[in-house]
Amino acid sequence: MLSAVKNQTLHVFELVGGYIFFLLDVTRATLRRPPSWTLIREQLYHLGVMSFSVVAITGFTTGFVLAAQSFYQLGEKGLAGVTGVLVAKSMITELGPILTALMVTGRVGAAMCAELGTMKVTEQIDALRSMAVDPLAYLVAPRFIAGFVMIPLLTLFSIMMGIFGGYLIAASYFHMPTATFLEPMKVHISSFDVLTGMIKAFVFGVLLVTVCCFKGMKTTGGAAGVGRSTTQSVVTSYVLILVSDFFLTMLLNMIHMKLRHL
Amino acid sequence: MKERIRIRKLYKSYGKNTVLKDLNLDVHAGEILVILGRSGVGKSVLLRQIIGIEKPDSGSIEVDGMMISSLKKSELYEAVKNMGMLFQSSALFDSMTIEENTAFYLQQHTQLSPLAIARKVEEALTMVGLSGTEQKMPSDLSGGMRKRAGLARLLAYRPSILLYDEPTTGLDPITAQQISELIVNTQNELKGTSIVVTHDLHSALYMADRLALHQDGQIVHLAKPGDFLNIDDPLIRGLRENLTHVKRKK
Repeated sequence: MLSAVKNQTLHVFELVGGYIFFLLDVTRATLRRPPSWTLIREQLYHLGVMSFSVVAITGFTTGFVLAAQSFYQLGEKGLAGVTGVLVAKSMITELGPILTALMVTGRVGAAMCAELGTMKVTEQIDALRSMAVDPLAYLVAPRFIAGFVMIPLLTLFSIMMGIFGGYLIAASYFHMPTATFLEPMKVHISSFDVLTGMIKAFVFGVLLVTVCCFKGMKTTGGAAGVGRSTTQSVVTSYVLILVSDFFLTMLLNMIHMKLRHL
Repeated sequence: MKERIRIRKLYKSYGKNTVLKDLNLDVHAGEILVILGRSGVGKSVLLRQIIGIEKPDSGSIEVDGMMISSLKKSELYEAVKNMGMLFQSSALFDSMTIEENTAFYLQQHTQLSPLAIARKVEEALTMVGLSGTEQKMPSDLSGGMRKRAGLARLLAYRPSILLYDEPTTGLDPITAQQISELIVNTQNELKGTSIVVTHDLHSALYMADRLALHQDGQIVHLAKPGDFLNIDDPLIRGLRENLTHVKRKK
């Protein structure tokens, strides 16, 4: 029993250490010799352009539901006027970055891990090394850059779709005047909120791409191993995104409070 | 004869399983050295150490005077530019066509024009009898054709040290013989140094200038084909007894 716990603990430390070194190696590989534009463009397309529709639908429906719930819950108490602010604030600081990251992990992260995992078990990654091509620079760096650029853009898009969805139901179904929905946002939505959302999007983008690539590059055990790695990459990314969201929320708000009191 | 590869006191373990144990080996310039041995004894692991895909636990690997086993990553990539490996699974990039696979090295490491690269690709594919398959994907090819495409990928950039990991495994005898002939032709064409790892004695005898027996993590016998078969070793005796008619290279 004790030895099992010890082995498990060692395994976790090994995994975390391996991931940190991987992250450093990827950053180094990206900065030392940036990948070709062709490789980056391909990943921007797969990760970003192809994800726009799913992110749009998620953002739009979430905004829709948020507005409806706010209106029903707060309207009775005479607070229907905050619907717009509630939708916007939730989308900008929390739901936009989180939902985008989770959707992209499911859509692209899993595929990324499966692709790299298959390349690993079929010796294609070894073949790259044998031809003096660094797999981190050739395979991971373009995905890393794409995640860094596209997740914040997709998040912005998701936020806009969410606010638009919220406005649409508030105006058309609950007959809320446009000004009532939009005006309070000018007062209650600050640049800090937008910054919070964007910082989260950057962090989630880096996390999801590197976790999925790390898992893919560490795959062993043939087709079954690829399946296992893919599942683990999605679950680990989801957990890390949610946990880091909590810490980022706390950290960013603490910094904001300190700055306000200066 | 000049040595191109010198391996000394090489050790490699995976967990508690030691696969290379005080392995010593010299490979001469211009020869085809065939390493025979049972499956799973670490023959492929040895090739992976030589080309730098894996690092040994201890010991040294010297290629053309460069200590491969202790180079930094960036230096290692520079050092292996002159080497090539044909993998057991062929390891063709399955998201690329055969043409793109064959052109890959040239696109990554040379400043050749697309036209010059296309010419070299065509030449390499013709040499292995695969002209006309340029636009095919690796999944569209048979096992033997994939092996030949892997060989074309090497021929396109003409490395001077070639490593072959089980090149005839899983192939029918006729295709296996074709691959063996291609390896010999490639050697004659590139005038390089080759190491072939296999457990196929027929192919080994056809290709080899020298034969080595890998057992218990070491090279236990090393001799010219004629002498190799006369070595008094239970494994070689077993191989010899199963040997039928073999068309010898020399």
